[in-house]
Amino acid sequence: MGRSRTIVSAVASGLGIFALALVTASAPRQSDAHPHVWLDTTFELLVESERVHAARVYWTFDEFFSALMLEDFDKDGDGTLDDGAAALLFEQVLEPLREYSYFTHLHVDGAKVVVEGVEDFDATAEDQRVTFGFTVPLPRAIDPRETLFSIALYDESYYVELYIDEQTPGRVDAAWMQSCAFEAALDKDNPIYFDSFYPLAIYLRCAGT
Amino acid sequence: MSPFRTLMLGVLLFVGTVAVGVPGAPAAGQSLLAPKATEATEEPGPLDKAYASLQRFQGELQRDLVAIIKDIKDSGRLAPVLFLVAMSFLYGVFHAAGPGHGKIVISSYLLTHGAKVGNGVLIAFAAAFVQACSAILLVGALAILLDLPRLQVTGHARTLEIASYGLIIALGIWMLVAAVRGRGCDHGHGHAHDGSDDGDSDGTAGRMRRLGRIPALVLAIGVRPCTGAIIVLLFTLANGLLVVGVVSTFAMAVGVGITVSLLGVLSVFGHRLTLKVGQRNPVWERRLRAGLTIAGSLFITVIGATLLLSTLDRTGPL
Repeated sequence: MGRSRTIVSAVASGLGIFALALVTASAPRQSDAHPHVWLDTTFELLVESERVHAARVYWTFDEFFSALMLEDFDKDGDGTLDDGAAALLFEQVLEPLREYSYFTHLHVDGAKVVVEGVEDFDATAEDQRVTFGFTVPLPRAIDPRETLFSIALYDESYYVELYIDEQTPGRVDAAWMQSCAFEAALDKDNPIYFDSFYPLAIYLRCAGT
Repeated sequence: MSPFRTLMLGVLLFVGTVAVGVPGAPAAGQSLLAPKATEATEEPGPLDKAYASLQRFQGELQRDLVAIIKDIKDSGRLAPVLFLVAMSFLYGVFHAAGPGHGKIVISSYLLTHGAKVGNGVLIAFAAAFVQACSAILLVGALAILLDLPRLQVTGHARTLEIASYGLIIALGIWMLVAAVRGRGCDHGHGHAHDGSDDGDSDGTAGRMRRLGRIPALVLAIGVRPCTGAIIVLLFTLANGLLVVGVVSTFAMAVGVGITVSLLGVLSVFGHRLTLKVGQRNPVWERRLRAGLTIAGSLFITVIGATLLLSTLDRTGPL
C-alpha cells in the first residue's frame, strides 16, 4: 500500500464520516442551550372595533435575574425601580432581542408575523421580581372568528425558558369574543431546536372557525 | 474506498453516535450528536415531554437555590449550606444533561480520537473545574474590583464565550493538521495491539502532541464560564454571601463533571467499538483511525465556527 494512497483514502474516509456526522447531527444553530433565565409569562390581546390589533406581553423574571436588574436599577434599595430605569432596561435587555422577535412568535392563518418592534414598554418590581410589559402590534387588525391567530412565547435557543399557564395563558377583554377560547397546543408546523421538538403555542379558537 | 466500506463506516459511526447520545443524555437524545437519529424512530412528543420536565426541574432547583440562599441570609445559620451544596450539585448534574458546547466538543473528540477511560473522565472534570474558576474570576474582577453594572458582567460572559469558541476552532484546525500530517509518517508497527487503547498510532512525538492537546481542549472549553454560575455568584454577592456562591459554584462543577464524564466514557467506548471493525486488518485499522481523527477534527472546527457565529448574532444579557 503506497503512502500517498493511504493518505488519500484516510482523508476521503475522514471527509465521509465528517459529512455523515454533519447530517446526523445537523449543525448547531444556537450557542448554549441550557436555560439560564426563567420567565413567567402571560399576555393580553388588545381589541378595538371587533378586531384584535396587538398583543401585550408580560414577563416576570426569576429572582436571580431580577436581583441583577434590581442591583443596577434600584440604587436606593426600596424594592422599586428607580426613575428612568425602564428606558435603560428596554435598551439593555429587551431591544437586543429584536432579532429574536422579542421571544414573541405570532401566526395569522399559519403565516408568521414579522415582529418589527414593540411599543409601550414598562418595567416594574414587586416582591424582588421584575416584570416587563410590552405591546407587539399586528401589521393589520384581525377578526379571530375569521382568522386563526396564535401566539407562542419562547426563546428558540433555550437560553431563556418562558413558562406560560396552559389553563389561563392570557386574557382578552371583549364581549364579542365570548365564543372564543385560548387553547394551548404544540405547534407542529414550526418545530424548534434542531427540529427536534415543538413549541407550545396558544391558539385563539372561536365557534365557527 | 469501496461503497461497502464507506457504508460500514457510516453504520458504525451511526451506532456509536446513538450509543453516546441516547443514554448519555437523560434529555432523551437531546445530545447534539444524535437528535436526527432519535427523531427517525420517535415522535418529538415524548421527547418534548422528557425535555420539558428536565427544564422544569431545573427551574424548580433554581427556585430552591434562591430560597436556601435567603434562608442562610435571614437565619444567619450555616446548616442550609449543606443543603445548598447538594442542590447546586444536582443543578450541575441536570444542567449538564442538556446540550452544550463542552459536551459536544468533548464527546466528538473522544469518539473520534479515543483516550484512556481515565483521561476521558479527567477531561470532563477539568473542563468543569476551569469553567467554575472562570466564572469566579469574571465575577471577582468585573463585579468586585471594577464594580461594573451587573447586567454588564453577564454581558462580558459573552466575550469569554467568543474566546472559547475561537480556541475551539483553533484546536480543531491544529488537530486536523496533526491528523493529516500524522499519516505522512507511515507507522506500520503493530501498535494496534499494544493494548494502550489511547488512540495513539505513532511514537513519542505523537504522544507529546496529544498530551498537549488535552490541556488545550480543557482550556478551550473551560474558558467560557457557565452563566448559571455567574448568576448565582452575583446573587450571593448581592446578599453578602459570596463565599456561599463560590462553594455552590464548585458543587455545580462536580455535578457537571459527573454528567459530562459519563458521556465521555460512553464516547471512549464508542471509539473502541468503531475501531473493532478494522481489528483484523492493520491497513484498515490505520485508515479507520486516521479517518476518524480527521472527521473529528473537522467536526470540532465546524462546531466551533457555528457556535461562534450564533454567539456573534446575539447581544444583550438575555
